[in-house]
Amino acid sequence: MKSKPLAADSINSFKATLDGIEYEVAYQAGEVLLDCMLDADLDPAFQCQEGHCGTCMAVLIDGEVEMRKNNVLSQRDLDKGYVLLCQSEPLSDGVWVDCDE
Amino acid sequence: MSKIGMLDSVWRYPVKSMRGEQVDDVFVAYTGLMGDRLYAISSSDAPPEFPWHTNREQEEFVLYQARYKNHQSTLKPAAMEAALKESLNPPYPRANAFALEIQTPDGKTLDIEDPAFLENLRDKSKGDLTLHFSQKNAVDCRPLSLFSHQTLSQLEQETGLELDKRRFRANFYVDWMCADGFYENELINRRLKVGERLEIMILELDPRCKSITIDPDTAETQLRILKHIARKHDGFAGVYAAVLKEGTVKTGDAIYLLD
Repeated sequence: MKSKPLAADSINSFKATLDGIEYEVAYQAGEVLLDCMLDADLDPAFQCQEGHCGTCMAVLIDGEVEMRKNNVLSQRDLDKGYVLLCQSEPLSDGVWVDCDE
Repeated sequence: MSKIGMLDSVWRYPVKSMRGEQVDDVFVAYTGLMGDRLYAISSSDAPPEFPWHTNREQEEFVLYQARYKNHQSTLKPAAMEAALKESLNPPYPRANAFALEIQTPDGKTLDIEDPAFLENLRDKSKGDLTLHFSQKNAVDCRPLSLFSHQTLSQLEQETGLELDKRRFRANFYVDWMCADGFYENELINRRLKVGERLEIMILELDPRCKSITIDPDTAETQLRILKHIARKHDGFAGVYAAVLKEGTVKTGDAIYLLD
């Protein structure tokens, strides 16, 4: 059963795997995952930040996110669990994204 | 005028995002290569500024092979020699000269105007798809794209991946006389002469997207190359160019730096 979305201000952090290292990244309400990672001085690949180049694709390992828009991911990508870091806001605690494919 | 390289191969993509074809002795107009991206598929789901349904949303696009039925007449305008002699812009043939057929991944050959073609795509897609045709090439940004073997080699060395150049979907694959990858980046705002007449200006770096992650033979994706280019090369690989003086090009043509 789909969990009820949490209010964004009740989500404090998410987990991100980058270059084989797992990071606990602070989450600020209203931000997208990519901005939080950049705020934390992490170096995920990204480019357009508009949801159309696909450079920041990452696999959602756990939790739920909502993408503001998606102009690049195929149904095949979505079925594999890919999300765009530049467009994703967490909807639940326990979000974990793998940026290493 | 100094020679800086040679044209290794020339490619056009009759249907935007689908498999390209290597061509030779082809006319390059102000709008780009003759026959390049004259067809495209638009989607009701796509934003108006970029209405195209592409291999990004449907990776199997790269497995569809387009062929002009009258191949030879799509390479050069009939009156090209006479027009260029008078410094005129050679008129293109009528639209029906660009009649096209598609070989689908499941082995069918369909006329692109056949409703079965769009139906074949819709089987694997959502959104309302429409066939678009225009003699103004449906390029993303600029009329010509150029990518070098040296850049490909550098990317292979840096990533440890074996990369098919076709991932980069350039019009001109070039071989520079220098051994440096990304040499083309140094040519922004420079004028080049290719072959006997064509003159181009390198305008800007080519920002890469998911398209280059797609294997041209299998349609499987490998994200690492895109992420590597983003992190190590600011997201750019290859360059865009504008045509300053129309002309024909062929494999092996010398490339000169004009200024």
